[in-house]
Amino acid sequence: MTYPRGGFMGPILDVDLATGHIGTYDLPPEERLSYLGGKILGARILWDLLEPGVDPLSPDNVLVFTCGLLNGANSPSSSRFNCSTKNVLTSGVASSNCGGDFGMWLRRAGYDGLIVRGRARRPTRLDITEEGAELSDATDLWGRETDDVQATLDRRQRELVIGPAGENLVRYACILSGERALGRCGVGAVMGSKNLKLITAAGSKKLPVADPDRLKKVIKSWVKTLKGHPVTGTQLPSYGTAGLVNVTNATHTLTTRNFGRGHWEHADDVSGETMAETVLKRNDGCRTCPIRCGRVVEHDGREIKGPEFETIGMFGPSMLNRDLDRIIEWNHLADRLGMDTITLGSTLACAMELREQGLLPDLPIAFDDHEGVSRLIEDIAHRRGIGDALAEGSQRLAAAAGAPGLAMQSKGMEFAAYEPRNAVGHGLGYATSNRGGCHINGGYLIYFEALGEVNMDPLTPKAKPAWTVFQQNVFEAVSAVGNCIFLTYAFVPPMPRALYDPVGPSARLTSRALIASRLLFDHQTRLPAKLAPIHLPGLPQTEAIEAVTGVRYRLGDLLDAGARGFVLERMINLREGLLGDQDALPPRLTDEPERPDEPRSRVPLGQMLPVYYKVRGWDGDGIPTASLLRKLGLDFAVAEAEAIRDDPGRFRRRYRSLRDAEDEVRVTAVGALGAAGDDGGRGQPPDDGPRREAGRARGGRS
Amino acid sequence: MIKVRFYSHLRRVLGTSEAEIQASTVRDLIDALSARFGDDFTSRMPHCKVYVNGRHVGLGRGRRTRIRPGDEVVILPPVSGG
Repeated sequence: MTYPRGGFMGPILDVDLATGHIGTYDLPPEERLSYLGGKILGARILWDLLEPGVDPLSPDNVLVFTCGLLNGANSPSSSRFNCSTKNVLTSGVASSNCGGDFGMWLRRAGYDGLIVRGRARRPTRLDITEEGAELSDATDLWGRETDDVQATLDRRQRELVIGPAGENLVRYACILSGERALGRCGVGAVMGSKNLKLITAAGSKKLPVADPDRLKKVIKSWVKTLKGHPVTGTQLPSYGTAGLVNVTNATHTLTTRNFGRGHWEHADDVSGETMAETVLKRNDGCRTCPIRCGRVVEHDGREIKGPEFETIGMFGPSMLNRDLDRIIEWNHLADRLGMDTITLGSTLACAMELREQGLLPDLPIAFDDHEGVSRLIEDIAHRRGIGDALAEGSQRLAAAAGAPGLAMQSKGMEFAAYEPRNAVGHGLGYATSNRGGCHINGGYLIYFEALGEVNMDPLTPKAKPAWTVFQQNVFEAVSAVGNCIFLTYAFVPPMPRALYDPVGPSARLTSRALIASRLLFDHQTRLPAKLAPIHLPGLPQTEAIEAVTGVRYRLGDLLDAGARGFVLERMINLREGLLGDQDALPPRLTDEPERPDEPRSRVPLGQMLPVYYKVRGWDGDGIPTASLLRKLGLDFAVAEAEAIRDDPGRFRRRYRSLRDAEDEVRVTAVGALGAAGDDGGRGQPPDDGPRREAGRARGGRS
Repeated sequence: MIKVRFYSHLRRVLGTSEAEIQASTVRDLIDALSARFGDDFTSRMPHCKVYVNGRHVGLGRGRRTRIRPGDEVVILPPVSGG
């Protein structure tokens, strides 16, 4: 591969909090391009540095922040950066993506990423500038909410900050960058376990670009395409992602009552349209984004961030809450405390169902009683009382209560707000997503099954494995580039009326054609990259990469990079003992039809999964073959794959022993439901003395 | 009468969230809505789907789909999110 002439700022900063050592870590630029950046580069670093089997909240876990390749290139919606680490919910791989400014500012300081190892002995902050990095005491910030900490910062800085939830090791604590979050997988708890409260970056360096004139042309055309597309040019700017509430409801794909069904008669009360007609003040957006899907709403006389679709789905229909103001309030509260609203909402809904079944009688809220939700959210963040049990997430909560099937999750992480039984490919995505129940990592097949202009039969399992693999690979690469995946919605252009009629026979014919395309797509991962030496108008990322780096980069390279990232994350999961049996869904979604009159309205996972493995180039147990790993340039993982194939029990035991240690914690926590007093949690700054092992003993002061 | 609901920007453009229409098929419905709302509707309808009781009629009987009072009929522009 040619040596890139642009696209990289510099090394990856490497900070050991235990020793205070600050150095750099790097891969050669020509090798780095094969990982692009973001989550794929993060997975590569994690593969090298993460010791298998360690507790995600132990000092041995590694936090890896990586910039997207186009961060700083001024291309549309390209400010997104990534955090990879060991997942606090699943014990497998975590990758969390954020649209905040931190990634761009880290590059301005001269770095393409940041590795954080070890654990500081005191609350600590890390400040990164062009002159280097500095660790200092942050005892004065410990215990403070995220917005309170953000208010202390210089305008020239951009930050990553955790709230009380991260300090208290809530398993779904997030990290804030401005008003955007590295939301999922409990990355905030990992940061909290390291006693790292705050990271800032500042600088003024500019990204080297190999061909600025070509990049300008690419950007101009790209922005024009996005602004002219009905999704990225109209729907998302007008209603944000909240515009999905009514549409998913109409297509029976909106979580309702803890995924008990996919349709709710009151959905419009909390929809994007209602938000726009009542409390919306203006749009907001990530830096360099022409879409501006963010919402700023009025609440209690103030302008604050409005909720996204997933937050609404979880805090609204999944909890049977019709009050949009309350959703806005809980969303704001969760941000201040530093918690992922998806897992939080799903855990609350799960708890409500447990209470309904008599398994959590002390829960102070119910599907028809939301008065105590704000207080409970605070209790979760501080691990007070019953909040301590809910801070573990729905999987651990429901298992401890004796009803594991009521947790709506895969691998331990909760699903987003899309009910998959009427978009069964989306269900396959949930089951195979590396980080757990994620719609984006799962490939977001619902766009082709229910939401976009062109649809395939949402209930057939045919072709869904092939399209899921394709979509997962595309999203993996687009994410690693630093782009928002919303850009890919313009991949399907508005259809000419002469060719396509969504209400006519052409809709049915197109559905059949998409399903028949599996004859080609089933073989996608076996095709060499050089067979796709083209740029696609719908995926201008390849042209942008060429302009920025000066290296020839085509569609086949992008798809290969996506597959490389997805398979490498899969290998991390396998190495941690998350084997094929974890590619699963709750029985509610696989066995119980969403519509009583439509037996196909359930996810036929057993039919789709073997085909999915085959399309991926994995063996029947879901382990990548040696030839696939070599094709993707992952030769270094071949020996591990063979070891897993030879003795899967050894790896399964690795996972079980880690989770068994957690079980003791969980039983202790849930057994004390309602018994722990207000002195629970880690509200006080840790002292220099020995600290209890994270994830082992809960409920007392540290 | 059939109650039909509009979502996303269609609601804003038409100035209403729903309409009551006399129709027995989707074809009748589209014709009646075209007559009532004119170009605001007809210029956007080619990119919209019709769902009846949660089912995409384009994947079934299309315009011939029969509708009855009490059915949930919605017209959906393409949308997405994350």
